[in-house]
Amino acid sequence: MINIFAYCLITFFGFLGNILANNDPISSKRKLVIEVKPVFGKSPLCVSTVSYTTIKGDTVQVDRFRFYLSGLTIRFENGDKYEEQNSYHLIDAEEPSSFLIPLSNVPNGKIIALDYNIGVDSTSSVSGALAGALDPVKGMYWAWNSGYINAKLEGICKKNNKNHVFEFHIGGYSNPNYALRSVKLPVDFEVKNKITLLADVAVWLLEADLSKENSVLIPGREAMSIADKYATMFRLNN
Amino acid sequence: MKRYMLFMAVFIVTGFACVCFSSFSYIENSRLLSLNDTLKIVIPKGWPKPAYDFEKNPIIRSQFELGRKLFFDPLLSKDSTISCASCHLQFTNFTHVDHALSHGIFGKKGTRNTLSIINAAWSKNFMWDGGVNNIEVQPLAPIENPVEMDSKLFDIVAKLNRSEKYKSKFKTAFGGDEVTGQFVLKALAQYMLTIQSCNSKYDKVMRKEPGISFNANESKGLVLFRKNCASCHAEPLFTNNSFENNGLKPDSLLHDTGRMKITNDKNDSLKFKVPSLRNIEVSYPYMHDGRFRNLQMVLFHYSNGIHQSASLSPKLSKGLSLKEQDKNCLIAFLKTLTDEEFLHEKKYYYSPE
Repeated sequence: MINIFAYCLITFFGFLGNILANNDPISSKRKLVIEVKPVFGKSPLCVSTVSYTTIKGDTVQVDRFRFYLSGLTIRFENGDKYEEQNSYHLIDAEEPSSFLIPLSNVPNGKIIALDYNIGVDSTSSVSGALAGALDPVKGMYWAWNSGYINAKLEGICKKNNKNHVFEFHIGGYSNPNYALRSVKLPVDFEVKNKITLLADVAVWLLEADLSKENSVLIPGREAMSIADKYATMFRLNN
Repeated sequence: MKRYMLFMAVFIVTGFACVCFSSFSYIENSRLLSLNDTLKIVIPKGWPKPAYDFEKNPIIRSQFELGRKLFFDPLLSKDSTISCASCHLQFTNFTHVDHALSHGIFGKKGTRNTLSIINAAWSKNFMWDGGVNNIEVQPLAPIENPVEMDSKLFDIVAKLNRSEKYKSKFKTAFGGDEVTGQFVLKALAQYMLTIQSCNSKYDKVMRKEPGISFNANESKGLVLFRKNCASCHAEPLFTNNSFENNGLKPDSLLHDTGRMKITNDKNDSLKFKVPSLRNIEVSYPYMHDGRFRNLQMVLFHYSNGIHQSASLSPKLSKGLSLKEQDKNCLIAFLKTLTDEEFLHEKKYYYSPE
């Protein structure tokens, strides 16, 4: 007898759950996934295992590549925009689960642009201990001088039979060294339910002379110019 | 008949479940009520509004108690030997008495004298160079400094998640099944924010409490203090929260440029936070590198030892003109800032359960 009750209860709640999950009365909204893929030029980026050649001819291995993607906004042909709430994502080349940003209730219109920031805004940088992607436990927060590290790139450059370790921790939340960067990418193709965004380390390292400039770990002028550089490392994969 | 029995059975089972559930949640709630008490932060008359926003983040008993436990727990350091309380001792005004430079993990020495954390809720920034912008993220500095605790917040969170005792305390205090970095930092902040000293003789005299008054030397000392010191060490907090170069000759081994390390501005070279003077009697040695062992040496510096440099505070360009008797009166006054009630206040103690 009890088995029958249990069965009925489970069926009933299962049914209820299904209704709640699937019930989307607004048919003009859809689900959309932003997929962020770390790459090096045309190859997917493999951390600590593969060596790549930069445009300058240096051989590099990337051991760490992380950045904050925040303030995600999707623009539509009719002028509407969709702004993700509490939009902070830590993209980590070592954590493939961090590559997918699922969005729900996105309007159905034609998408013409994707806007976002690389880094964390100054308000969040002065708001104490935050949660989720912004939890200082993620290792993207400076201890000696408050503020988030917007992007990290670490690795080894093999040049002239010498190994140079390079280490870039880029941040700064107040002027004149405010290192947040906004990125605006036009979308000129039909989007179904996924937009793939490539983050290309080869572009970050395009003009870098790693034997000379291989360590930037504090906010300042050098960090600002590297932030300018990596803001251009994104492209959409149609 | 069968169907009737079935309904009856469902009714009884459901009813029983409801009774069990509600009585259980009642017990749970009554326990939570006491732990969820908010602790009032009293703003003494004449004090400014705290810099910390208590309306957004009120002090909650369970979080405060958890923060106090963490403050005294060496688990926070890499090899579980150093706690916050190792260098911030209550009876010496939450500083490291008798240590010019504090020692951390493996006996390694730092480059600065431990700052007190009293009245931290009124501070807009933290550390001698003001590099930390919010008390909630302040603990990261000692936790990650290789000569202090040499740990990582990530490792601390992992250690805490392995402890069933801590996990259940965190759950009571913050909810959630896992300890997070945010919860650790918020708990520590809750404890530090309550560390408030406002019951010294000075406070009682200012409040005109019956039966208590300054003697002649203390009164003269207050007048001298207001004339010579109060522009930086402003009452009632005895700091204006600014950064100043007070004329200390730079230490050739420490090479500490102070505020400039944070701002990269050469005008900030050799500037350090103006520390509060509350409980100064028990927080020796003095200055950012602890170079002066006693208050006589401090006053000798201000009267005879000012080192000239580009960023020197203009108020000190000629040094302070103080006679020996003036200095004695000033010291007598400074000793009225000792708050015995605070130094022995039981709520700051942690006694292991």
